[in-house]
Amino acid sequence: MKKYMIADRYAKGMIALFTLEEFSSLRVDIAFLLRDLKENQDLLAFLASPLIKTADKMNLFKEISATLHHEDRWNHLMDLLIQKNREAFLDVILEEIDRLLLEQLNLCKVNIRVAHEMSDTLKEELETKVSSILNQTILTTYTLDPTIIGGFIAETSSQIIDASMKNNIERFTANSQLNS
Amino acid sequence: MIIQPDEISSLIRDRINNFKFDIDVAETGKVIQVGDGIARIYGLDNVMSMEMILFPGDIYGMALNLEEGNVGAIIFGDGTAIKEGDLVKRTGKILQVPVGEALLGRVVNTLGKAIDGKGEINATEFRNMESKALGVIDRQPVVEPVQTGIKAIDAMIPIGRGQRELIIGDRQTGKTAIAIDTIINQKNSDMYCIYVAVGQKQSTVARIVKTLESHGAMEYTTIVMASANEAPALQYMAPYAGCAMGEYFMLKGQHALIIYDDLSKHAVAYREISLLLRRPPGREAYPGDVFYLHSRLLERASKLNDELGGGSLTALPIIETKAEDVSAYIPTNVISITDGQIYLSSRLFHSGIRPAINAGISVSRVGGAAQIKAVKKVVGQLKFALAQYDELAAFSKFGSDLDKTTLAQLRRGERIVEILKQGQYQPLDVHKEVMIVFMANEGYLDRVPKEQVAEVEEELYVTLDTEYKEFGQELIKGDLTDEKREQMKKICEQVIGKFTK
Repeated sequence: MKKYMIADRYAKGMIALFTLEEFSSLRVDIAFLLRDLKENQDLLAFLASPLIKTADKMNLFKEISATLHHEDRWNHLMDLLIQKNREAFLDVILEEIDRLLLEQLNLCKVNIRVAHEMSDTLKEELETKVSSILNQTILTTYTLDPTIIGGFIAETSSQIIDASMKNNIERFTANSQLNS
Repeated sequence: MIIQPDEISSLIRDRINNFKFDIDVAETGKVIQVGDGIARIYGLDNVMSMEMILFPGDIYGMALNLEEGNVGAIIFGDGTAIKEGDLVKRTGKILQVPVGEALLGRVVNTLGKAIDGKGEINATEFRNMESKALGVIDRQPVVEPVQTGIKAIDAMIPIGRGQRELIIGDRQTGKTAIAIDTIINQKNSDMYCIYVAVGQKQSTVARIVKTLESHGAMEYTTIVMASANEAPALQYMAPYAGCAMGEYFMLKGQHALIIYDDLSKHAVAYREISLLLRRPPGREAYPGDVFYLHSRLLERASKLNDELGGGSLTALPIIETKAEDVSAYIPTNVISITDGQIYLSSRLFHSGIRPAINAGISVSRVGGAAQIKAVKKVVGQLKFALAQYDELAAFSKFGSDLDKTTLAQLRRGERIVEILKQGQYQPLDVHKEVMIVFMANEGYLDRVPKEQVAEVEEELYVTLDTEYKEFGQELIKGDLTDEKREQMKKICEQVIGKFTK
């Protein structure tokens, strides 16, 4: 978990280099890099390996970054990560930059856990409700989790909204035991 | 009582009907590191210092260190089930404990949960464990006495309601015994008692509970226990929990007595937490705020003004010294915070003087004003005479020829020492204390050999209980008039006469 703390510092530094107008292109770059890292598991292992020469790592990254909008700044970041032996944290740093970007744009990634498949209308209603609670525009992903029985659990990186049937039943049981 | 199945069904139906479906919204963080009762959490950006946080498995913790990249928290309970990456929730609440009459007669842990096997505690009121001490305007001077039932204390080191009086001494010198005797002596008074056991053996606490029960003292007493095998976090918060329970009575205009046994172990628990949280160590490896740890706790003991109900919370903290070293860090801190100290000496204890109170260096800074008038007048120069005796006794060992005055002073001193001896769990009524001190001060006891003093004392108490019951009650009311003094002399003559014929 310590990697999140480390990633946070690099992410904050990186974001400070961009203006508000550049945020959308920066998000595109992040999505591209994250997809690359996800699809090629060996890439991160290559970058993190102490057996690989730093020049080779840098060359490979330069080839990847050539297609990015902000090539120079990405190369500088990678250079710094190699110097500080933090190459293995690249994916976490990218996620953290994305999170901070969304925060600045008053956007929030939310994973909503539901017990059953939902209709689009219901999803829309739910998203409006969650958005109003968080007071932010939300970007949602859905996960099916039958253990919550009913209702939903919405999770962001720093908040949890638990409106599940499971939680309410547990609360009801606890209250009943207290009152008995 | 027979309960019909219909009734149960309707009860359940009612509860279901009245249940409100709720949405829990909580700020979360993730556990980065956990161990030794400490957790480091990533996230919880808006958490407050001292806020209660919830770990998985309904384990509570408290945020202590708010750092740039993480939050350091203490865990109340078994932290072995907590893993790296676990979700931690904010509760938005400061740690609270149940308070009130429901806790009387019970043994509870730091979180106010019953550990005496007598079932759940149905407390309706809760108070924050940490709260700010009342200000100057809300208080009034200490004017009412707390009778400990111990002659040496009530006569020479009187304690007032709302006072903080430290009990200090080496191990096995009778510190806890004084505290327990004081609790037992509150039986027929309007005082509620709270005994906070920090870092003690469970067997010791069990023995104390049994003693209090056998003397009928548990009816008005609550015991808060954070024994040696519990997490340092629980030991650290136990005195604050007990204090919150005492404050409840004080704010209701009632009177409470709280005993912290002991604050040395409390400081050690806090040092452990601080070092694990990587706070910079200072003198004796204690953190920089160890003075504040005790000052903010003891400052909560007070006597409220009449507009606020006139309630009081008297604190008797206990400190254990090593090799009678009162100049160590924690003892000096607590000495400077409290309104006096009762110093127990192992030398006196082993020479058979029990309670082993060293009157020379024991002091009460405010209690004198709270002493009953009769006690105050009778006691007179008792402390001075005792101090003089101590000095003369040391010199008399070198010389053989002593003048008459010195011999008389030695004789008087020996008898004062004898009358101040008192058995454990035998607190005395105030009028008996007044009478025996009067007897010694007026020289009646000089007429009998030292070895007979205990017998005279016993006879005096029997006489008071049988022949002068009403006078005993009269004696402690109001001023000590000449008539009362004459009557006291008459009783003394009557008693001493039986031994000098």
